[in-house]
Amino acid sequence: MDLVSFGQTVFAGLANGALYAFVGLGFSLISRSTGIINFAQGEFAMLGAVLTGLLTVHGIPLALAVPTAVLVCGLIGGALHVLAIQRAERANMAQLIIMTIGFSILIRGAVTWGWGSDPIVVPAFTGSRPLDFFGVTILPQALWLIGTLAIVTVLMWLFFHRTVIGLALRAGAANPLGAAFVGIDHKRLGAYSFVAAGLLGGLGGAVWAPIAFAQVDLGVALSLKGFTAAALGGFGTTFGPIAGGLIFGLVESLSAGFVSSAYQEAIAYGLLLVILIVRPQGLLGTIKRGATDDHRAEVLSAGLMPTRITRSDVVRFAITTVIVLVLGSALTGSWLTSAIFAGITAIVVMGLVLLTGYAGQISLGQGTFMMIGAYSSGYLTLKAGWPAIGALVFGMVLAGAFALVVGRFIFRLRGYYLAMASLSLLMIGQTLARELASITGGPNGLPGIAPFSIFGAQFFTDEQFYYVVLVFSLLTLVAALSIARSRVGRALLAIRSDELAARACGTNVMWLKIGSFVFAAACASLAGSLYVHYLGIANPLPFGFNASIFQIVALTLGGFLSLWGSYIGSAIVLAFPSVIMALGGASTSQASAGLQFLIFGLLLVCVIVVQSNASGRRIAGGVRRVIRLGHRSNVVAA
Amino acid sequence: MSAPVLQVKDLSVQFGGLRAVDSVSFDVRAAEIVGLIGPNGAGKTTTFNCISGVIVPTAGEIRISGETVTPFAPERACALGVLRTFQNVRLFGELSLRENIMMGAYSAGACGIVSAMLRLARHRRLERLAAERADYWMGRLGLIEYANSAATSLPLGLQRVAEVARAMAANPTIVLLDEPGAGLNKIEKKKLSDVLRSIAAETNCALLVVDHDMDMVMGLVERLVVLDFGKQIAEGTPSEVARNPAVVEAYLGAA
Repeated sequence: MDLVSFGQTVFAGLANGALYAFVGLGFSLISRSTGIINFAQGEFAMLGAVLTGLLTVHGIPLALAVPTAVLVCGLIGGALHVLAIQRAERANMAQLIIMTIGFSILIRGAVTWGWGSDPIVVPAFTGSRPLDFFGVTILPQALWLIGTLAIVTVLMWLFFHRTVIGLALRAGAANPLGAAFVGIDHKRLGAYSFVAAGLLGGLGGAVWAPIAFAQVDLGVALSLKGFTAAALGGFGTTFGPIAGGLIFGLVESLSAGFVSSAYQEAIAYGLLLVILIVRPQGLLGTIKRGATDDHRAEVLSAGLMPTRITRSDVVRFAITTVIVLVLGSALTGSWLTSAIFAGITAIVVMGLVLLTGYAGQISLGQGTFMMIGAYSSGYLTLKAGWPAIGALVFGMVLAGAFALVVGRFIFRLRGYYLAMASLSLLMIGQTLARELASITGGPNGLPGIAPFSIFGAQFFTDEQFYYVVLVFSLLTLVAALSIARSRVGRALLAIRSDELAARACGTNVMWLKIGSFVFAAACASLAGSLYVHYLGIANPLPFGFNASIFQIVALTLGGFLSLWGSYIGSAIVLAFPSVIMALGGASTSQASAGLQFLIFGLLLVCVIVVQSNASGRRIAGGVRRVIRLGHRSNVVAA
Repeated sequence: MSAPVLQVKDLSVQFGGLRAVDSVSFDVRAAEIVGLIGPNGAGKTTTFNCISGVIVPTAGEIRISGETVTPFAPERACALGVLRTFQNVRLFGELSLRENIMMGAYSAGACGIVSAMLRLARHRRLERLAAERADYWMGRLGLIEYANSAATSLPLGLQRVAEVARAMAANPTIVLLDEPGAGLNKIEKKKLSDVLRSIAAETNCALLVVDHDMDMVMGLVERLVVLDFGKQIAEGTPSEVARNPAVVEAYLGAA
């Protein structure tokens, strides 16, 4: 690569890096002020870009469009805090993570519903004629971006270190109660920080948009990359996200130039994983011990979960079996299809009940293991002539082994960091699935997979396959229930309640977390295998971040600790598209998908608010006590 | 005579320039109740944390039943026979009282997810063991009627007893009690003291109590170790220590 191309690559990297820095600054700002990590941060940048684009398309001059768009982003940020976060008084970290994921889905869904996912071209500020700098082509808009970043950085530093309010924000983040005693209202400051983060993200997006284009799908990648920028540089500093963003942008750009543009994403996310595991405080940050080591959770369930198999468990199992059998004969057509997908999703969610509900670890990357199952089944039955059941079991074992290896590293992380790490893993997996064409068939996948068969009996109609899914899901249910209602389940609940005290009782926390992770991975692999036998093709599409969203929504709606709820939550999530279509809420399938996400986002946020709000929990507890079939008595098996 | 259950030898902990603990040495024998007291900042909590593995000492060593154990991670403490209670009671909010105490017996054997899932004999045996121990201690300490209640819904006095029961379910060699009397009224403190004394007598388990509350400590312990500014300034029976001028000066200042 000659010097000019190198210079080109470097400059492109810096320009993208500046955008990541904007998003990262927003992450850092909210984190320093409230301790929350706002998963929706990237969506603010997307909004800034899209709104600017929409306004200019409708004839509004750029000089007016940009500030308007940025202001709207700020307002939305503030609204999210005031309407949702402030009402979730006692939300724990897992609930807050899910709430901000809800924000992200909500914003994305709203934009998709309102506008669609077509890219919008945004005019540049000072014309798009590139400048020439020693042979390197430089877009003036990129200079605008970097310049704006520089100004914003200086202002931010001055704010945090030279104003009283900035000091108050930092104090409030470090010790909200103590700060309250000296008159610092952390609710108001939290709202201001969300507004500011919205402004920052929106500004970055608006100024960057003319360089490429504005599109609704930008948000998720930007959230991840902005998070990487902040993590790489250090969350708690002003210059950290700047340095992190620029470095990250450079790494991404250089790896595209020198290695391959296909693997650029995988390398970038790989970098994030390495940073999180090796140096979570970032390059410029300092490690804050103590607070994170001592994790005591707010009690999640309104009543106590049993840790032995009770009579009510047997009754519920019987009822569940009857219901799913009846549905099998009653459902037809697209409802049957939805039921099949719901059953497959429920299998993944059951694994998540153990991993996220019981063990308290959020994973947004179950798709990775689904892909292992999917490609194992696909490749082994298609290319190696294995029987379907053998390939399926092989996939589960492989997924479990992979989870065992990854778990050792990934469970050094907690909370948001763990969630982001799991998502990075998924992104890397998706890239590998697209690129390792000899095994996976590339982006088009492996077509022509035979329907599921066992001992010669083939299940190729929907009605037949429904029963396959039914049996497998009930088996998974029994396995998960058996674990939950055992001393292991008790230990997991203990760790969730008070990890320090659990350690003092001699529980091996790491192994229990890894064990749950392995179980959840095996469940996901099973689901992935079933998926490809149903669709007849194995490709990466059904196993990406959207699938993770469905799983999280299903888990939240069904109840973190409820295995029965995994059926209910999955059914709701999968029935949604049909319901929306039937109600005529959207004109195109794209808009319908947008509306679906919008409602999912709202549901996630509302459920968390209800769960974590004192009065909300009293209502939920009352409802539960009515439904409960007397868990505490009538123990059946120890 | 067998080795003391706990031996603290020349324990020193230095944080930067501060000597939080300076060459502290004492023993605790089986069935003995020893108190560790001193004014604020004396180094009691730091010593306590060393014995429970939370902090690694800068110098000196700790021996359990004659074997040197330092340095060790806090999760190993239970396996070594060292159990502890906490200053702010840390029962498991998601579990009932009975299940909390059963958790004390968790490390009585190894049983992983597969054994649990398949309900192997190992799992059934460990569950029976845990249930037996929990039922025994609940009966012994008068907690049976609260067995199925949420552990954190009990009044504080009972919660402290429950925490002791959880520790005892692990069949410990020594239990470290961190301010067991905090937040209790006079009657509850007396009850707790009686319970602790009877436990030590019956099970041969040693108790090391760190506390500020003189009433509680004096009535409970057989021997006291007094720290001040990280150094050991006195050791002896409660009456001896109470008359020791160095101790009086440490607490009340020079006359």
